[in-house]
Amino acid sequence: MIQFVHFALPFGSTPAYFALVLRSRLLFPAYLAISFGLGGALPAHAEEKSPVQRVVVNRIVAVVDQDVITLVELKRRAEPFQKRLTEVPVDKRTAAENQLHRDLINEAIDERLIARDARSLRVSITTAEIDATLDALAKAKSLTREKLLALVLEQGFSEAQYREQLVRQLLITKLIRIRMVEQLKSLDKDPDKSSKQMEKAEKQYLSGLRANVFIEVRL
Amino acid sequence: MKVFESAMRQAWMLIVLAGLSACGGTQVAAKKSDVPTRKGPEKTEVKPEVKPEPIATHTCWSAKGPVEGAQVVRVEIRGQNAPALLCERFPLRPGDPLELATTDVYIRSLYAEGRVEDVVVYKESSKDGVVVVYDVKIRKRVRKIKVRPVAGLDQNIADALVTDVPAWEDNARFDALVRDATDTLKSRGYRRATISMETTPEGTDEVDVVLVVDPGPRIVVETFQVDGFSPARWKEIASVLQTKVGEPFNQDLLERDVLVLTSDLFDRGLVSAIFATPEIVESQDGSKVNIKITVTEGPVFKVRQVKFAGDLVAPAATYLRDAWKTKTGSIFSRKNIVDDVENVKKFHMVRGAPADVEIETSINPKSSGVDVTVRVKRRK
Repeated sequence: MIQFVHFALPFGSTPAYFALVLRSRLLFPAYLAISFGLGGALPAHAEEKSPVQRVVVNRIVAVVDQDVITLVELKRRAEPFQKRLTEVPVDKRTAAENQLHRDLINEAIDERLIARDARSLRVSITTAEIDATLDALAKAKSLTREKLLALVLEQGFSEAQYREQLVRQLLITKLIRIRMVEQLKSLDKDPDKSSKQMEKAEKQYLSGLRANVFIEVRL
Repeated sequence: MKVFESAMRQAWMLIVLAGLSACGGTQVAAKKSDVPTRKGPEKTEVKPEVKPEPIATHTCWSAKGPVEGAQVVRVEIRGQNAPALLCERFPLRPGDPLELATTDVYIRSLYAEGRVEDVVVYKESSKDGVVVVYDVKIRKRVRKIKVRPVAGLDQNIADALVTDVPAWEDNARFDALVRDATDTLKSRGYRRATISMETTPEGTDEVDVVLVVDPGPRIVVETFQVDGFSPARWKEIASVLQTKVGEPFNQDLLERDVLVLTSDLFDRGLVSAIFATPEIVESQDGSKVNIKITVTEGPVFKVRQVKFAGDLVAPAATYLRDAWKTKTGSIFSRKNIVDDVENVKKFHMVRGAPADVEIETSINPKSSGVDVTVRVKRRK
């Protein structure tokens, strides 16, 4: 879990900037769009039931160095998507759920690595920054914060879960600005182009975080 | 000391950049994006595994009387070589409800210890209650790790490759070991070294590990050129650098040399000097390297003013007279400032008021001046 730390970044990060970077991605996380209709098998033990009523309640689904991601954590992360999964045609649901699990595990792995990097750079996100970003996002959509959160709730996320998503994204943005100074110097003034450049920078950054880390997914 | 810190940071950045621009650096970067997950070092088992022990089942706790439907009636551990003592790690007792959050805590703490490779928690429901089974996979204990002797690799370097022997056959720790060992080899000039692992089971619960090193060619410094220093200064400083033409290339030594060069600039008031990214060009066969560092010295900065702040035990003028030798108008020198800091500490010590001293610097590029603030903090 990404922790809130008490100090703020030493450079000026404006909510408007974050709103620019985050727009469109935060309301509808990428994996919602890609989760359905893709192939793959379910986790072998996800809900094993035998005649003796034997059920796997927890196990390790991924390893990140000495840390683990468990089935219980994975299920907690999958909760907001359950409603949408039920809307997927039955014959495609297994594959969709499998893809969702893979995406959520990757997200959990990234979160651990981002938190590790943030700790090493003493970077943190304050509650005030999250509130400011929420307001900026709401403003960009011509909504009030309450209406934005209601929309989020409709998507299956609680406010706490959505705030966690914001923390993750804000942290990434801050860390990228530190780690990838050179690339960001050539950021385009056009919001669409700069948004794509930031997405590319984010991919590079996350990929870089995974180097020199032992990662094993046990789905 | 902001000036000094920024110099150190700059030097470090250069090293990072040097590492990337050096041979193989780009390839490594490309590999990072291509391979999103790492699954441990290449590992070979060199002899068939001994027939495993039968799966042990230990009943940790069992209810002596009936329990309510959803409550735990029995707790078991199952797994090859699973010791009964492991029961102590699962405080769940008959009569307790099975809580998912608790199983999470058990799994995480057990895994972090290194002994257990995997844990699956089963819930077996019956009319008598719930049986909770922890199915564990116990790792083998590592008996020893050695590096297989190989031609072309100095024995003293081979001996330095294994610094920390993992207690258990843990792929994450093996991966870190191989990574560190490979980095050591690269820093000692074996820029194309690769390492794999061989494991040999010993009995049912132990394993011997051998690092198989392919050192590749050892790279030698063909040229080492530093541009930007005056010939006289270069003659003086070249003698203290440890990167030498004709000797094996050592990344650690080059990093140290960059720090020496940086310090030298800062001791001569060249606080705005710029190091260009070092050019480290490896020959195609990986046997030679040409290194070029370009320095732009910039103006010489002088001390514009010195202020004292914090828990002072005397007027600033007394510090300047008795403990601070770097005067206004003198050339800024990191070394002299460090000496002055020690003098201020002694000044406080003899007055029975031991203190820590921090230096804050503010650089004015227009006037080529440095304002120095000496901040004193009494030790409690």
